[in-house]
Amino acid sequence: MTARWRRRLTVWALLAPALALLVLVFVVPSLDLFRLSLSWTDPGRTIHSDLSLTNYRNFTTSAYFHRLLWGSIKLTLWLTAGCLLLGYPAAWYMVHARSKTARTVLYAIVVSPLLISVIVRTYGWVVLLANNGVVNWALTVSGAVDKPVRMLGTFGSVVVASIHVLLPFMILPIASALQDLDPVLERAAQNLGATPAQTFWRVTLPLSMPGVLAGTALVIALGLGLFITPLLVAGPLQPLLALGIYYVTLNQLDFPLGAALSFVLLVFTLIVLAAAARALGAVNRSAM
Amino acid sequence: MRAGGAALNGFSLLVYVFLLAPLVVVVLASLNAANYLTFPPRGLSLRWYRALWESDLWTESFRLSLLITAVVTPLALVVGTLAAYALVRFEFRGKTAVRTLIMAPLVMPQIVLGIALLNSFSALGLINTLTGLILGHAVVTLPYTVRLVTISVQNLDPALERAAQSLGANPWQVFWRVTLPLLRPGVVAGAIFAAIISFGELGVTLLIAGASTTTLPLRIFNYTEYNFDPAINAVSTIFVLLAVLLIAVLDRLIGLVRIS
Repeated sequence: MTARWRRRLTVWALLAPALALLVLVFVVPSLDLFRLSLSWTDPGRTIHSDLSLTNYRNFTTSAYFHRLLWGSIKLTLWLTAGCLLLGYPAAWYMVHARSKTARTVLYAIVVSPLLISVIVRTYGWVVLLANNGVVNWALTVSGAVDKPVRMLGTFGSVVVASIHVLLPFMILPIASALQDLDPVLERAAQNLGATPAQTFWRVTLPLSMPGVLAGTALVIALGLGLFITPLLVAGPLQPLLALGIYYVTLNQLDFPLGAALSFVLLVFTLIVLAAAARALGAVNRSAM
Repeated sequence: MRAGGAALNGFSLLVYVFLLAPLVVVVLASLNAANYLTFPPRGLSLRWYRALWESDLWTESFRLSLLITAVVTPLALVVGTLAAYALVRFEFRGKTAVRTLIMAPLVMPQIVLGIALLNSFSALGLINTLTGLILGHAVVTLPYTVRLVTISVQNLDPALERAAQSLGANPWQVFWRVTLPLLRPGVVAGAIFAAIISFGELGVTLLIAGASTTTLPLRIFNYTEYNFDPAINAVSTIFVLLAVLLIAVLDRLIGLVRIS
């Protein structure tokens, strides 16, 4: 056996277990799901497996599905804006923390949600936002409101809880971009007479754009697919594509339609990621 | 500008309060003596921890989740370490495709992966089985083990392995006595992430588990959604404390800044 063949054999032997697992539990199920999305369910709930675009046609024509899609887009816009607004200052603060201990603690606060099940974090928001929850208690005691405000079940509660779930994915890439930024550049700008605001807008922000873009892409891609958090804080009927997939499949038991909606969601996610990859490429080229 | 700077710092601190708020609230609520959700708490008590301990349903879920984690972690770790080593150390055709495929489950919306597995596992009779959950969790955790071990392989100087070889070690000896010990930080971090993600996994679990495979996160979900049980606060607190402990381990191991 030649050395080249032995090397090739080694590589594929090392990769074989991972590839076997992924093919069996990821690739084949995805292809099966796509095939299922081309079947259709008649009103008597019988699934017909002749190839048909019925479900996709329904998606493009039905106002109900447009509402779901628009809900998802609206949510991701809110999530992106919210995570940027909260995440950028938080990342900056963390990177510029004075002591090493302070920085470690701040990193721990940002990373810890990633290690805590999404169900626990979301449940925390249920405790905060319930009619007899913490926020309503604080509002009532302070006299801001007379009786509890209904917060669970609203679009706003989905936005707040989802921002909480996704914020680390925005903070960490921005922090890593700010970390790599040479402080000499900011000082040079200031020595040349730039005000702190000018330094930020013309030096710091442009140089941290790769982090901002990476974070934004993650927040949008993950935000489109969120379903446990909206389900718990607002119920399955909240108009969101991911919840629609859940509802159509598990409540209406229309598997082919759920499969088709899944692929619509997947395509939107991939478009976002591809656009982000392009934008990142453009930013990196212009930085050189 | 100084006032603006102070305002910005204050705002940033509020963001950290926001990040902590739901976790702190759950920990406080777990010590509430009342048997429904009230604020402020009516007296401190550990009764919900005792209730948890004494409930067959909760302990059964706890055991199930531990069992799944105990199988999934070594599985994802071994499979992931081998793949990470191949991806860093060798050049071969299709490398980008393989790397993309391994990371794909991270990008796939969880509801879509869940529905896909629900569909395929139904046909195979794997719904509501331990095997089904283990396979599902393995796919979800694999990207994490590959990514974390990759960092360590990249930092591993190939000269050390060559040195061992030229001193007469066979490939097995090189792997067990040189390569693996040097990969330890990444491997341990990978194990921690795999374990914590499998233990808390719900996106896929919700769709492929069933009445006889109610994992801990699934039971919390069911009780939050359908019939409230104050013991949820106590279980959730265990999750929070576990995360605090593991964060400290990860920081000592490779530093939090580098993981992220």
